[in-house]
Amino acid sequence: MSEPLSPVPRPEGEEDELLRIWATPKGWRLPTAVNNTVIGLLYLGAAFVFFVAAGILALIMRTQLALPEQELVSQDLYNQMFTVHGTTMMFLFAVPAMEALGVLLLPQMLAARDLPFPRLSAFAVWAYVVGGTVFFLTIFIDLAPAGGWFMYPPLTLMEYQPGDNADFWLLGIGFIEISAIAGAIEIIVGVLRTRPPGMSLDKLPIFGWAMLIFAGMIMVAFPAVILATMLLEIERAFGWPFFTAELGGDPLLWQHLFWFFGHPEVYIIFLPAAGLVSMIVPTAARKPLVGFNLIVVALIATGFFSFGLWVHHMFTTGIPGLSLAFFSAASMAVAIPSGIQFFSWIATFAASERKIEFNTPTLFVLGMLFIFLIGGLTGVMVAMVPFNWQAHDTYFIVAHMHYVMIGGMVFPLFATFYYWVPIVGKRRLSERLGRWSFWLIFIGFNVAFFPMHISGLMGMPRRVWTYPAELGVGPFNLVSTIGAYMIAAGVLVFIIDLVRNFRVGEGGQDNPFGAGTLEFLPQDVYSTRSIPHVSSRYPLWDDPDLPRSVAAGEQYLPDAPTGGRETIVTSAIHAKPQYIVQMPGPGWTHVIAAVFTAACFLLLTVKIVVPAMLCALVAVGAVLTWVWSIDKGPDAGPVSIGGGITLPVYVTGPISHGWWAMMVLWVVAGSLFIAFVFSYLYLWTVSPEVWLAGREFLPQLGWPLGAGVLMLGAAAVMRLSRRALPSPGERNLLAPLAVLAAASLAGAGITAEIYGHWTSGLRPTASSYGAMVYLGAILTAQLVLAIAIMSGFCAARVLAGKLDRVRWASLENTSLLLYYTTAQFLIALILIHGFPHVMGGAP
Amino acid sequence: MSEPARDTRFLRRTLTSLSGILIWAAHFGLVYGVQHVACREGAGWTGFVKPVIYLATVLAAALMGLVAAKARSWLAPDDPGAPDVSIFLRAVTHILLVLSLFGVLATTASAVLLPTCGALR
Repeated sequence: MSEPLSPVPRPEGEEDELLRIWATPKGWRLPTAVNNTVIGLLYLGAAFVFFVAAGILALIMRTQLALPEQELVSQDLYNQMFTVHGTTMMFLFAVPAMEALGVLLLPQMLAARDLPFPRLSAFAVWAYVVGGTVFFLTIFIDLAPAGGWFMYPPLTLMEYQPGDNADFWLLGIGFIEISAIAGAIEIIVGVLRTRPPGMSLDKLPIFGWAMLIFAGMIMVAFPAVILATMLLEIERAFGWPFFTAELGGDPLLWQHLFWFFGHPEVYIIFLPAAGLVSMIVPTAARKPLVGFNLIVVALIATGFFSFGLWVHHMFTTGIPGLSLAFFSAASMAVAIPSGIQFFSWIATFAASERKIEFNTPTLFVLGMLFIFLIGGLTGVMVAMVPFNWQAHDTYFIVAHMHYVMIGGMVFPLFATFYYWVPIVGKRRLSERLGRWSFWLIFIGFNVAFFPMHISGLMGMPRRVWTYPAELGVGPFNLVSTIGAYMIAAGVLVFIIDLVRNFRVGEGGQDNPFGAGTLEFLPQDVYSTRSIPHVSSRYPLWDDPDLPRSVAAGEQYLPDAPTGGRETIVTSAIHAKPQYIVQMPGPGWTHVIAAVFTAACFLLLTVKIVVPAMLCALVAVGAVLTWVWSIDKGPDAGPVSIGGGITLPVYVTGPISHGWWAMMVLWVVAGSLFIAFVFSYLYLWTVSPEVWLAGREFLPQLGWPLGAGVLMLGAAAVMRLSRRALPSPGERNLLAPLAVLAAASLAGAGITAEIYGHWTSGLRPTASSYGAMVYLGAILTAQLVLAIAIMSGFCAARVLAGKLDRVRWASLENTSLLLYYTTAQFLIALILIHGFPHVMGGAP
Repeated sequence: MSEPARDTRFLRRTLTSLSGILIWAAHFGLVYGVQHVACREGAGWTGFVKPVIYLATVLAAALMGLVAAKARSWLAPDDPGAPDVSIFLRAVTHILLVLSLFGVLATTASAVLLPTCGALR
């Protein structure tokens, strides 16, 4: 029996007030919605549409390959198809689908009213929908890239791939990755700070852990490929020779950066799916997950080890054998945590004291165990260098990666659809259709992909448009094509099930599978009626009265004390209540910002620069309008949340969720910078003679010293500007002037750095050394530009009476970004101006 | 209203819990970086590679041992009456240390078995 934390009965009209505040906009205003259930469904729906679209491309390709020497599609179109298929599946389906599930399910699992930055999620989703749609449509107008989903240079350099096709990949995917990072910031802060009181880290549901690791991996992995796409796009557009060997570049730099992202990407996709499985299995077995601590360790270890595998994809590039062995060892090490998860799931099933019900979610989970196991075992095979040399770039690899991806992600996703639909839908999906769908997909998958192991070992290379009959792989290809159509039939059955049975809304059974976690509490648009105090990992099993108590408003925050959208922020480790975060409601600004940001990138892709800049201005204006109303100040608090706890509604400093988001942003920016430092040093090892020749272009010491002093001055003035802030209710001129002065000093610092190199005669197009030097400055300059915009925003808020000594979150965030930028700039100065002096050798 | 509750020593607890895997990452980055640079630079440098790897391995193992020994005090609970999180974090720390040690030793085994810079044939 749950102890009431809030007095009952609750006042008349309290729930109506919650329903009014959290109501989803209807009709043409639906795009303004920011509720996690609406945004999550839109995100997931869009990802599924991309899955189907990329699947149709796969069917066309399989039809082309069904028989030898066919000409159903042209060779060039086929190249575009496999590029768009792979790119869409990886960037537009797999990662977004997992982020979508995070947005959709995490607030429910944490009994939070929403994640802490709902408009950021909504912005990320709309940017992804618009950008992804345009990218996919390029296949219909002969503008799709044709360099494979990993876009290796030199094949993708301008001289080998003229036109805009490759640029659509580079700018489109770079942009979508930024959207993914925005989602990841939301997930990290959400998991760490919006858990219900009492849900300390040891009680966090495994899916929460998986999403935390997933988002952390995105923070570190995605900046590497963002840098890679920057380098390649800059080389294509402006001729800076990062990848051109005769000017000191190296195509292998792309492979290092791409696979530093690309291999963890597999686990970025797999870990959340594994988290989903770890939620479904205990429900199926009616037993707590066996080895909870081990699973957490496995998720963390997999996340880290996966960054030690990137050369696993480069075994045939001539790298020394010992290097290959390091990565081969890491490839084996990562198999251990994956194995831990497998044994835990099997042990949980085995521990069940009742007959396991083989319903649709359980079937898909079991299918995942079978298929991912085979993919994992062939993964260990290709981690062995001698075997890898034989199988590289053959259909064996195609089979392996599909066993990993579809087994590790698609099967758990379908299990998820059937398992979690009741929390957003009015009724369950059909068991009968679900079983049909499972068996068609499961059998079809194995019919399609198992023969590819054999055709690959017989010598069939990847990415071929057709093949000669004499190769002897025709029968295997025909079987694979039949299997592909069986998969399509299974997906079609699922779509029919969706159309017939999926209706968004309340009214269904709250907990049809008898799960033990919070997402199966009674829900409405405001999430749960009250936020429970959690004292175990499976609160619904350990306290069967909890759903009634939560629905009766007996737990925390049964009302809306600030009169708006809000949720409880708790401490990161122990989940102690800390404050109430006031969150924004529906609005158009994030939609406008997303659409115009996407338009800016797409116009840049086709070199329409002035309209692109105008779109950028509109997007920035929309973002500034959006954030103008977010900082609501402390006036509505403090408020009582029940249980004798009274909380503030406004905080700043290390306790605030905004500060945490800035720390996450530091990690993202730091990862981008580390990728740059790696690239700089890597190209030095490849072409030391270019670096030696570059020494004579180093500016006089006064330039870097002056630039460093200016940037330090900027940080100091920004720090002092807080002291100049007026008291609440007052305005002054000194604070805005100080903030703008700080931004100006930062601008002067980066200008001095660039101008110093320019006057010394260094040109970015002359060698990879020059290109790297200027790139270092660009990475800081883009941060300084952001600081300039944020400083102008802060100055305007002081003048408007919305920024003062108490309500100063905007200035805090601007200061934090400037402090990071200063540190990065100083390290870059030491690297750029110091390293050439200590690297040895004579010019 | 009292001051909001704080999680004290968040950074220390996080770093302690992740120390095994962070040490593995540092070891991996160091040995790969040293070997890559040495093999690019040529004969004068390659002799240092294996000693550096062995030294890094000893250092990594020693650091892991230190963390294992100190984990109890570094992860001590704020509230002795609610030790669940500390017990959990200690378990995570120790298991990660074991896994990471395996990763470090597997990397070092490569150096024992293979030549420093030669390509495989």
